[in-house]
Amino acid sequence: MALAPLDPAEMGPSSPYVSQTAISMGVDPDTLNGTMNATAGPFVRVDDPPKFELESYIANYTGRTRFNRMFLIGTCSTHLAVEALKAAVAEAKSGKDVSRYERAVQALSEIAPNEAEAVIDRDWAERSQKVVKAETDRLEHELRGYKNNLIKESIRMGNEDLGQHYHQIGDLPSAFKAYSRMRDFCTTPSHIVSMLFKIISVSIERGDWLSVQSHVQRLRGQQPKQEEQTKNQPKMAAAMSLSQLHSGSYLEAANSFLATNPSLGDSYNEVLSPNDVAVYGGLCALASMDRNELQRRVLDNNSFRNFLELEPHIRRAISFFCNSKFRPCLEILEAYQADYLLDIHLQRHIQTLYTRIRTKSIQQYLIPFSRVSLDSMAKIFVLGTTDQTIQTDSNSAFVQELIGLIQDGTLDARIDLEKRVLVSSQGDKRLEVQEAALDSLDNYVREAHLRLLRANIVRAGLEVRPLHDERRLKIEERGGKRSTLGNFLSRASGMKQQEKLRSFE
Amino acid sequence: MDPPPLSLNQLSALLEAAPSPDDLYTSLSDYEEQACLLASQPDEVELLVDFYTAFFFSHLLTDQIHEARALTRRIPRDLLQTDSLQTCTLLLRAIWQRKHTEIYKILRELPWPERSRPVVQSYESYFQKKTLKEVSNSYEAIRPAAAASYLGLNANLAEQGDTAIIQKFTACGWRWDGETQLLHPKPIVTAPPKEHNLQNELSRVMALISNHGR
Amino acid sequence: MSDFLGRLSSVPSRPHDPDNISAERYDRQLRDLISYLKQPGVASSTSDYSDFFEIVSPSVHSLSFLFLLRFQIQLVQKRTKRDIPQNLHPGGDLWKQVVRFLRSFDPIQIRYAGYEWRQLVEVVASAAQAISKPALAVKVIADALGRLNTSGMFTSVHLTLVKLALLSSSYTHTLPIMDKVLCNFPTDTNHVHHETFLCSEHGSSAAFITDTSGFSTKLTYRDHLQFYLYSAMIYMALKRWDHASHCLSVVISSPTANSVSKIMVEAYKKWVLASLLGYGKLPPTSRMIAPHVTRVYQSLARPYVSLAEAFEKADLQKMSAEVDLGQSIWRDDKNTGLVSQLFEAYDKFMIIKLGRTFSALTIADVLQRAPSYFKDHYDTEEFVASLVMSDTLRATLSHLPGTESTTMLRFCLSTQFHAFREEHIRTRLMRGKSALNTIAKGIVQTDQTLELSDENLHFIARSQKWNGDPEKSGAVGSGEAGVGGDIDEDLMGDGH
Repeated sequence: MALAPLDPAEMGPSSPYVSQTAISMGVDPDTLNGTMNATAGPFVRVDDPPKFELESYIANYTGRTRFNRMFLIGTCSTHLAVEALKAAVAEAKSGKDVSRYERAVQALSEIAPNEAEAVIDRDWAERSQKVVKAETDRLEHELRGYKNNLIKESIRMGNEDLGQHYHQIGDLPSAFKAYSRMRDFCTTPSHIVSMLFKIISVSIERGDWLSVQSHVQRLRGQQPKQEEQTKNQPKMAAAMSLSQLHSGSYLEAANSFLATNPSLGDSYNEVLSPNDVAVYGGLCALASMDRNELQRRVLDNNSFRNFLELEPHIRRAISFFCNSKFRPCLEILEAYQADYLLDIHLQRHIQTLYTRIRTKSIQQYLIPFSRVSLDSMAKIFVLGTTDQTIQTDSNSAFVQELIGLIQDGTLDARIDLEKRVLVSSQGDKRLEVQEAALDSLDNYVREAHLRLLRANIVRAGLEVRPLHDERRLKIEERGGKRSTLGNFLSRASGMKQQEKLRSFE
Repeated sequence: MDPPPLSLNQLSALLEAAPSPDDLYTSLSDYEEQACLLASQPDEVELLVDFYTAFFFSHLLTDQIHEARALTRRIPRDLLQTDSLQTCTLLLRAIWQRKHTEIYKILRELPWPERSRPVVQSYESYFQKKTLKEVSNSYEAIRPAAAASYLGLNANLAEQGDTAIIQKFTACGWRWDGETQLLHPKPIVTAPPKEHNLQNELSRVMALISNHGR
Repeated sequence: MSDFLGRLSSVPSRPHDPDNISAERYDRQLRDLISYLKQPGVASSTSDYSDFFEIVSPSVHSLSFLFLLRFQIQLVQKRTKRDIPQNLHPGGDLWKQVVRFLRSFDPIQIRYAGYEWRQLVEVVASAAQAISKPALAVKVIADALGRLNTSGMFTSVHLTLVKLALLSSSYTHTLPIMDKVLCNFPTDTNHVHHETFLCSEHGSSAAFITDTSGFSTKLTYRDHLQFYLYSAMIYMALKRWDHASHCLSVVISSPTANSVSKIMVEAYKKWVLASLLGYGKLPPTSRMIAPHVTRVYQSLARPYVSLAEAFEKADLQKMSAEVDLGQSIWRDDKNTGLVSQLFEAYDKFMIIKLGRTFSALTIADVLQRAPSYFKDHYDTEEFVASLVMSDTLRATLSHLPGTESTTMLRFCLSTQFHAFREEHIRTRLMRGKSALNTIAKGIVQTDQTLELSDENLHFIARSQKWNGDPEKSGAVGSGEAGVGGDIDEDLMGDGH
């Protein structure tokens, strides 16, 4: 194999992320570079057919993300598996990354061993490996030459070429290092900007979101010319939002997506398409903003509208939510769930996002009511069934969901299983306050007593002391055995000791 | 200043005077010292058993169930083996576990010493009254059999809708719904004992911060 | 003889004094009387004093009566060569006189003979124990202590009382003493009150109960720790959990100098159990407990801590396992009784907690949602009914029509008890107010003595390794103490 085995220590910057993937479900981009399959979590299995068509979907992207996306679809979707994996094999074969070719073939052979593509093309693989090896050697050699000559620009370009090469063959840590080495040899701001974008691109593929964030920050720190700035902003915002999405900061991610300039267009297709911005941004916003904010900052947002037009159902879902039409909103999301589960960036987050949107819908729905019947709630929130009469049994999933929401404090309401209604707890507020005030009075009195006692104990010199303690203990042990007081004038110490005092049963 | 010496006659006189539960408790607890001293004398067993039985009931009548339990610990062991005090222990356990049927059974069917009858009876009616209040405030609707067993009435008869029993309940202001066969108790609201040093200003402040009159 | 009697009845208690003499003269008269009574020759060892008991009134001539009792006791002791002679045993003639005295003495006169008074109380305690009937002393001592009215001052007699009460299982008599807020300890405050007399009206008992007055033995830290531990045990026997857990808090947050007493550890164990039984959870411990003390508790009371964790997490299985596992520990610590009550408390709090999720549900639902040792419907309903009827659970029950016996449990909005609640709130407010008053008085008193005795402060500052915790707010207390400024701040703060 052409690739040198990776030293785990080299995974430095991405290691926190690695541990994160181990517990999360699904595939994450890092597992796709061929070195870390062992750490991948259980794969998601998507049996429902997605709404998109593979060919037109993948046409939105360029570069290595095409393979990564196809491979994810191929390994997760039962419907598109063969088609996607065959496309992935073809995609890999058109490039120089032999390991991903092997993985694609391997995956395909597991589900469709009879396909022609399911057999590895040894010739091609060996040939490619040789070519790659020769290329690596050549570039390394050239770079050494440049270093000897100490010509900055040549060293920078040498590193850039090497980084690009490593990136193409899928050796992401080496690519990251090569690109990082360019830093000292950049002479113009635009060099720095282009270097940072390359690093970000590798980091995104590695799933090293901390690195993405820090490098976007560094990009912001650069002060290029105005037109440069406007050209770079959309990509910066998109990269930043992706990293925020992946770190679970959905509100921040929503804000960043919303701030992405529509001039992004197809310029960042090696990472994400403008459709993705609409979907990711729309879902993050739905999950983290209230109705007013959604209306004002998403629907009425002229610049984001350009993105939303690409994915009209997201726009519809948001406006349904804003109009308190929660069922259609949830139905749309439900309908697209398969699509999103097959998305390389959404897969791990879609469950959380959907739960939040659903919880928020229930909360918003309840605001105007002091009591709502469980049946009418079920009509809105129990999807995928038409027979609602059995859905509000006290053991039904929906009622269990409500109980969970009440118990974790999300809903300030109580369930009346007799009249089958959800009752808002608003009416108790005044008494709660009174009760709390009385409790705090009691606590205050107790605390004051403790403190006063403490002051007086200290004043009387009655703190617990070590030496004294032992001496007295002995005296008392002896005293406990003596039966009555020795003399009337001595202290009556016939008291039986603590051990005689019974406990209470 | 010291009470007259404890004797069977004195005890009978005290019990026959039927003082209020609190007074009864106070005067009997003054005698505990004497009883305690008599405990070693074998010929006073009858007096002691009667005294402790009465004293035990005076605890129950003043709702001092925990102290009543402590009392059973203080009573000399050999006295505790007598029938009467054994029954007291049984009764205590039944009250502790809130077994209403059993409580009535013990009070009514087990033998009590002649001298203790009045306290036993007054406890029975006290307990009945107390339970009536508790049931009235706790149940919005109750099956007659359940209500009857709470109050020590014949549950079987009540289940068959015996009019005499139903009438006992309706006499307390309860409503009888013949269709559902359920009794609807009427809550008995009593204010907690007022404290003497309640200050007017405090009441006024309370009236302001709560919307009592709404 | 008659001269002796004349001296004995020379100083009547003030309400019985027709002349209404000045405090100064009264003080001198009493001091004269004391020094007369303490003369070595007065008690001639041969004569018998029992005749005087019928002539001298214990309530009018309390001092004289007290000394007569002493003379007589010493006489009999000498004659019989026994510490507690027969006629001092409960029921004996001398015992009767002692009890008579302790029930009727004049608290003002007694201020001049604190030492003798306390010894008499201790004789009562010993005598009752000598015949293994400690119960006989409880009421007498409680009455005597009530008569003396130490107004917030702790004495060794308090400890004697609760010990006897625990030994004899007679609890109620001690309540009037235990329910009072104690916040002072006898200290050297003589010079503070040099202007007044022992017999004068005093705002606080600190004037006549001092470290030299004899009303208390020389106290050690064990005394007040034990007092509060035993008080807590009495409250626990009466199931007054809030009082119990407060008393235990006093013990576990007691100031320490580099050492933790075993009593404190025992108290912590009981505090864990009392809190679970009373509140269903562990409230935060006082911030005054030093971290190293908390660590000691945590490590020495580990089984209790894990038991509490299981309880709080509503993990019934783990809780049962912990209870079984710790059987020998509970037994050795004498806590088996408390532990065995945990299961019922667990069920109780589970059902109360249901009221936060549901406003109405059937008993069948309760059975299903509050997993516990309930066997069936009937069992559950009985338990829930007992909670409702004892007012522990604010809810109502309803039998539903129909043959299958369904019972509905409705948690009421508390507003339905409005009339009740106004009164209830008012009562609680009044209770809080009176407690606060006592404490405020205590603070003012502490404040005064502190300002007036600088050496005290120096001593405190030296004896406590001051690690002035800057984040400590000292909010409570410093407000009322007011005048003392930063001194109070420090004192009331976290000076562990």
